This record gives sequence, structure tokens and C-alpha cells, in this order.
Amino acid sequence: MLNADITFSYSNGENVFSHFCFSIPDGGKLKIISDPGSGKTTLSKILTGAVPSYSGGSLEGSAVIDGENIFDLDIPSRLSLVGRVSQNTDEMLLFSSVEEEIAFPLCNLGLSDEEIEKRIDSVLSLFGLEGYRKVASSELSGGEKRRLMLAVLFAINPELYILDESFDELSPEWRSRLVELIKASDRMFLILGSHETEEYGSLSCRTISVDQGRASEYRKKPLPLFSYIPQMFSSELSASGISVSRMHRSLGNDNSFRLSVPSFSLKRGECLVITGGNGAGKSSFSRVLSGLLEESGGSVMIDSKPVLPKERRRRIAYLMQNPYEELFLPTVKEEAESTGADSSMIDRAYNLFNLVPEWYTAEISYGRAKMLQAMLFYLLERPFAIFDEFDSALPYEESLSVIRMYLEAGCGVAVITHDMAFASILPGRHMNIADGVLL
Amino acid sequence: MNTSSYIYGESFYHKYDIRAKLFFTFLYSILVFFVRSWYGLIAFPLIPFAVFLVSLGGIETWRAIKRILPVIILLFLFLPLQDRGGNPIVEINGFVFVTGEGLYRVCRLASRFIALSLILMLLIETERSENIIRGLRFYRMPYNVALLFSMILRFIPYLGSMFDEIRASMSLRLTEGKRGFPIMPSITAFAVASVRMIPDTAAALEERGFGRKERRDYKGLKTSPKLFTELFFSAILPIIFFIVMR
Repeated sequence: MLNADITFSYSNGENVFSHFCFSIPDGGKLKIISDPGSGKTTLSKILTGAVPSYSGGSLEGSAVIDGENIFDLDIPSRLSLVGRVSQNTDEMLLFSSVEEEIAFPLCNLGLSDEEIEKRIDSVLSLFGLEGYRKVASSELSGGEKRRLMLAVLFAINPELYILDESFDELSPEWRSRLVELIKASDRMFLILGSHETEEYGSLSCRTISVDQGRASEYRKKPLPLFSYIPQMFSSELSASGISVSRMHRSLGNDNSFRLSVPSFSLKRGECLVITGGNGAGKSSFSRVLSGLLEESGGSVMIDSKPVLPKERRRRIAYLMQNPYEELFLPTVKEEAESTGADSSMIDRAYNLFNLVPEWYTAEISYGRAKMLQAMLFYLLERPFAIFDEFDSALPYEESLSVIRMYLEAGCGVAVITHDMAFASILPGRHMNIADGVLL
Repeated sequence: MNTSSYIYGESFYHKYDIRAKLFFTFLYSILVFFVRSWYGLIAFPLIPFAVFLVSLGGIETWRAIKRILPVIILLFLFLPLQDRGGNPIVEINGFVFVTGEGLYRVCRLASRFIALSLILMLLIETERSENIIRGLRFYRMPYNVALLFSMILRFIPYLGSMFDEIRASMSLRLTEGKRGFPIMPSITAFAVASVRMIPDTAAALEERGFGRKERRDYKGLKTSPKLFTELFFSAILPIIFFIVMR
């Protein structure tokens, strides 16, 4: 059983939790659904010990698991008690192969080779990664990385599993499978999210929220409506005969993927939803469209004229899955000013995107980083934009309001998502990747 | 800090025992510093270059060269100017640009840099990092030092790929009418991301139990009948080469 009473503030005086109290019974599950920046990731790091050890700050209170206050233990000693899947998977991957990534914590638990082998086999099969054993973790797609992090956690099998927005980036099939695994487990689960997905909903367990640093009752919101009258312009982004391939360099040719896009079109002012499984090539295709990746065949056109990758980068905004990859400057203000937009437009954008100019980009939450990423491309006024799993880590209302702003500004928007409920709210055509073909 | 430095292959160097490969890498890296002759300065980078070509092919070899090319160009552009005492080779209006001694010194530096870079890249691109750790452990290196060493080896190409990512992301943010990519913001972003990586990596290691006393090795290296032969060649070939070329 876990009993927690946490009070925490960062060194800069920012108060995150004030007697944030919750408990999880043996084998129980608890969901915490609250807005970005409310402290969910900080909570997960407090429980594993990364905060305040690596961030500074003042921590008071206790988190007692089976009679032991884990705050009295150093970080490595908590390994068998608590583990987490980070929202930002890239920060947690350390080794050059999937096998080694899973084996490392098991070695640290002092398990025998036979036991390690058994657990690796079991979790690889559990998360559909059997063919990836020797693949470098950096060569996996976003969803595959997420499954790898889940596999690591399930291999350790601690008393308390913390899943920080772990359903994001998983395909609907894997989301359902994860729910089944959670239901079947006799361990405690703390599930953190910024909005209640269909899958969370099927987990019948207590749900709380964070309100000004304290635990509060969660009130489920109905799915929002998306009112937008399409105003399509004649300008069009199109592609034909595109083929994209990727090879796992660490494994040779055996496990490469190929995506073929016979035809693709997106008009300015139009909303297009793209869905598909993990590793199907959605992000790779987005990179091709936005000029970051050279296509193996075919061509990308704007208004029926072929456009070189260099030019595409100036015409098509690509909002990457991990927003931190597109943030470079120390503060929100400096980021905004780097777009060259005039000050009145920037001031308006701060309000539209709920951002404070003085915030440090390195310190804002994942969800806020996504809003900043969206604000920057909004200020750049690109005619086309690709939102790669933008809805993860954000409440539906915020994701939808951003997409509406882009559409109303006359931007053609392609939205990549795994959340079928979110996809159903969005207007316009739907495309899906199946068997390596985008149709 | 996850980078894909290992490239799958079936070459002789891929199959070479990691213990022999480590010994060869270490010995070659030491000998590079004792080469004085012009022949040696040219020949010593050529050996890892040739092995690179045979083991990983032309594209990967070019990629490796491309990574170190900026440093080599900078060396040749600026170092001769630092060392202007000696026999002038290039002199314009009485100003000595290049001297024989300066040129020799920069060639020596470039030779060491190329040879060292290629031999280390060859190691990490033909061997999985877990095997490098196992190999280092065979030489009785403490686990923490072996892990640190392996991470440093991967840190270098990782920084390269991170800079490429930042450049790519930056290029998406270019405003109309601007050319190239903004150098200073890219370098700032790179520095911030690199510094930020330190606590993230340390926290991730500890959260996975790094530092626990009960830790044990997984899959030790097997005794191989060809190990002695490969170790012998790893020692004798660089030494003979050094004696001939020094």
C-alpha cells in the first residue's frame, strides 16, 4: 500500500505541492488527470527520487510503501519499489540496444543470467518487440520507444508503477493492450494524464486531480465540440508516388520499414487526420513533407509545382512529437521574438496560447512546451502545418483551440494522432496507414 | 543519451574478438603519438581508413570523414599562422604565412587526430557498447569506469547527431528572406541541450538502479579459441608497422 503526503517547492520558490495527499491500496490503481504544468511529472520524479536530487527544491512529507518511507531511501535503492515511464522517453534511454536497455536495471537488481533472459523474453513478447532485441533504441519510432520503456518497467516489476502520459504515442491497439496488462497486474499503478482518454475510462479506479498543489476531486468533462466552418483556399500541398524507407543500421536490412504514399493532398484551410500503427512511418512521411528527410521516390508539390526540401522547410510547419527538439532559446519571449513577428502579434499570441513571456523554456512542462512550439509556428505564418501527436500531454480543449487558430488563419492542417476519440472530433478527411500504404 | 553508433556488419573487423579489438585500438592510439617521419604521418591514418572502408563501406567511411573534416580544415587554416618561425614556404609582402616547421607540426597534429578519430569510430561502429563494457571488464577495469568509458565513446557521435537535429529544427524556423541557418542560436541551443543532458542522464541511470551493491554482470565474454591468435596479431601488427614507419 502507498500512503503519500507531499509538500514540495522548487528552489526559485515556486510551490508545486502543499500537502498533496493520496493513497493506493495493494494492487490498486489511481489516476491523476490534470492540466499541463500542475506538477504530474514532478510528482513522478519525487517518488523515484530524481526530484529534488537533480533539480533542487524543498521536499517535506512522506511516501510510505509497505511501511517504508521511500523518501528515506536513495534513488537506486527505490528500484524494486517504484519505477516510472517518463513522458519524454528520449531522456530515459541510455544504451545502444533494446536488450541492454532492459537488462541494465535487472543486472542492478542482482538477478541471475537465466532470470534476466527470462524476463527480457517475456517483456519483449508482451510489448511486441521480439524482432527489435538487437536494434538500437534510437532507431525506434516514438511509439516503439514508449513500448520499450514500458517493457523496462514491467521487467523490473516494482511495487508501484508510474505511467506518466504513457498512453500517448501508443496506437489504439497497444493502448487497449496496456489497459489489459494494468488490469491483470497485482501491482499498484499511478496513471498520470492531461485528459481522460477512452482507454483510461475503461479502467475503473479512483481518479483525482491537482488543484493549487492539493488533491481535488476529478470532474470528468464531456468530449468538446469542434465548431469550424471550413474555408478552403485554392492553394494546395500535394505529393504523389512518395516512397519512404528506413533501415535499422544496428540490425542490417532485416527490420526496415517501407511506406508508400500513392497520392496526398492538403488544401489551405483544410483539416486532415492521419492515423496508423506505431512505426508505420507517419513521422517519416511528415519529415519528407516538411523537407527534413529526402524521399526515395516521388515528388512533393505546392500548387502543382515541385518544391525542393529546402523550400518546403519554409512553407510547411512540422510540430514534432517531442516539443523540446524545437525549442532553442532561454525564455518564451526570446523564442517568440526569434520568429520576426511584430510585437503586437507576439503579445496577442501569449494570450492565445496561455504563455508567460518570462518563463524559462527549460523549466516549462511538456504540455506548455507543446503550446510554445505551436505558438512559434503560428507566428511564422506557414501556409501548411503538420501536428505530430500534438494532443498528447494536452487537454482536448487546448489541442483543439490551437488547431482551430491555425485553420482560421488559413493554414492547411494535417493532424497525426493515435487517439480515436480526438480524431473523431476533428473535421475533414481521414487517412490511415495500413500495410505500408497511406490511403 | 541514446545514439545508434553501432552498424551491423559481417566484416572481419565486426567478427574480431572485442578483447583483441580493444587491445589493438589502445596500442594503435599510443603508437600514433610516437610517429615522426612523413611516411608514418601519412600511413598511420590510412590503416584505420582502409579497415573502415572494408568493414563499413564507402558511405559510412565518408560519413566518418565528414564528421572530422571541419576540425581538419580549421587545423590547416589557422595552425600554420600560429607557428611562423623557421623556413618560410608561403610569404606575401614580407608576411610569413606558412613555414616548413609549421606545416610539419600541423600535419603531425592532423595525422594523430585523423588516426585517433577513425580508430575510435571504428571501434564503436563495429561493436555494440555492451560488448565494449564486457571487453573493458576483461581487462579488470572497474564496472563504473567501463560504463563511463562506453558512454563517453557514444557521447561524441551523439553530440554530432544532436547538433544535426538542432540544425534541422532550426531550418524549419527560418523566416522568409533569411538564408543558411542561424549559427549562434544553434550553438546556444546545443550548449543548453548538452548541459541539460547531464542531470537527465544521471537521474535515469540512478532510477534504473545504478549504484546498487548487488549489481552483477550479464552475459560475460566466452573463451574463444581464436582469441590468442587475434591478440597476437593485435600486438604484433601495429608494432611492426610502427617500426617500419616511425
